[in-house]
Amino acid sequence: MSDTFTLQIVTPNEEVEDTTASMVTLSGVEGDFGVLAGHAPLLTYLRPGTIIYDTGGMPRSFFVTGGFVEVTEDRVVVLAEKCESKESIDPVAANEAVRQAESNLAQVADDDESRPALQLALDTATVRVQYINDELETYAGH
Amino acid sequence: MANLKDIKRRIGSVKNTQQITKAMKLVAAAKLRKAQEAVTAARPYSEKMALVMESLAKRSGDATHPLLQKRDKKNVLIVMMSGDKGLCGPFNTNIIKTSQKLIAENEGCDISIISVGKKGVDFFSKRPHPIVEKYLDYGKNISADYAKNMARTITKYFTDEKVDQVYLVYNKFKNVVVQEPQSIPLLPVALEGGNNDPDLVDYEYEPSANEVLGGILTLYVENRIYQGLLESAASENGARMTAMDAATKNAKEMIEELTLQYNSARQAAITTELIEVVTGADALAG
Repeated sequence: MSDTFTLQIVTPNEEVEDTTASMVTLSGVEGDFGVLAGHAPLLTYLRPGTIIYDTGGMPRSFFVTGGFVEVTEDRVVVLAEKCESKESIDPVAANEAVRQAESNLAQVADDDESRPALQLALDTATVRVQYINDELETYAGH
Repeated sequence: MANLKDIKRRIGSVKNTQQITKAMKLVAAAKLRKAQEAVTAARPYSEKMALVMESLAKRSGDATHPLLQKRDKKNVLIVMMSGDKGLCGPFNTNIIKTSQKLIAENEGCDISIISVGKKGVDFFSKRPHPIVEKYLDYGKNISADYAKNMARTITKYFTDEKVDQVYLVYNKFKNVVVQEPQSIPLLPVALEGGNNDPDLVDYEYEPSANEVLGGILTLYVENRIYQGLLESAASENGARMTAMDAATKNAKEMIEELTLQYNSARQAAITTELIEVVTGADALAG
């Protein structure tokens, strides 16, 4: 069996990546998981988090806000909601987004029905800031 | 022969029309470029989505979910994507014709309509089939969220069992000149070739099959609608550009013809005057 697989990342507005990778790490709803070629077929949600993949050179990464991932024996398809590269995120704006999300959340009552959505927005913003602060080298150990 | 003043007035009015059609063509061209970019950019997602759905059908063709539930066809909902404005060639007519064909095919069912765009509302408000929802002014605010809201409304009709089948009618954008009206079944979601392929193992689902299926089916419906909206917007602008281009050309031809008429009328008038003068002079000399 080949030790690489096709990795495709798309969002509703663009094709982000279509490449051959040897490994990819994703933030699934049940926890982070890594995929190598020949992985058992899997269909799952993504939570806000990072996609890191290895195409042979430097590992590359993206921040995704959520979506779906389909894993088959020879293919990984990521249907992301939104996908951002580290360079495309403005750190100042990202930090501001966290503060904004915090204050939005603070303004609603504990049993308000918009609370889950606001909480999710805050989590997303927080993870996004973590993502840009993380050094990519941390993952280079793969 | 019409008199000079009349012809001159007509030339003026055709020139005005030509200016308008020319301006509309330019506006449509600018909008088309944007819409075309959007639709091309969105296609990979839809294609990958279709790929996943296909693989899903092969692996879990016997899955059950409310969005997959096939029922006896009694109530049919047609979601038609027309435009808000006319002057765009066959764009609206094609959508209406395709919807009517669909209505004819579903004879005996109760049909209701969801119209995107004012033209569909105009047409079906005079027909017996009720319009249950209207989406006007969509051209400016197509976004994934807009499609999401639409999908939620449409799905609710289906899951509440108010309708048993939902069709989507829209113009698929091939190129600037060619737009293909299409009608596709939207709900229940058909898992094509829904037979389990024994060579393929079923997916593992996280957290649960039901939740993941529900999520991906909803996403699929949203995406079909989003793609439909984008295709429709690009088609509308393409159709308008082509129609306005043809109109501008026709106006040009008409102006040329009228100018020719004007010149020969003027020539005729001068000739008549000359003859009069000459005959007068001859008479005096005689």
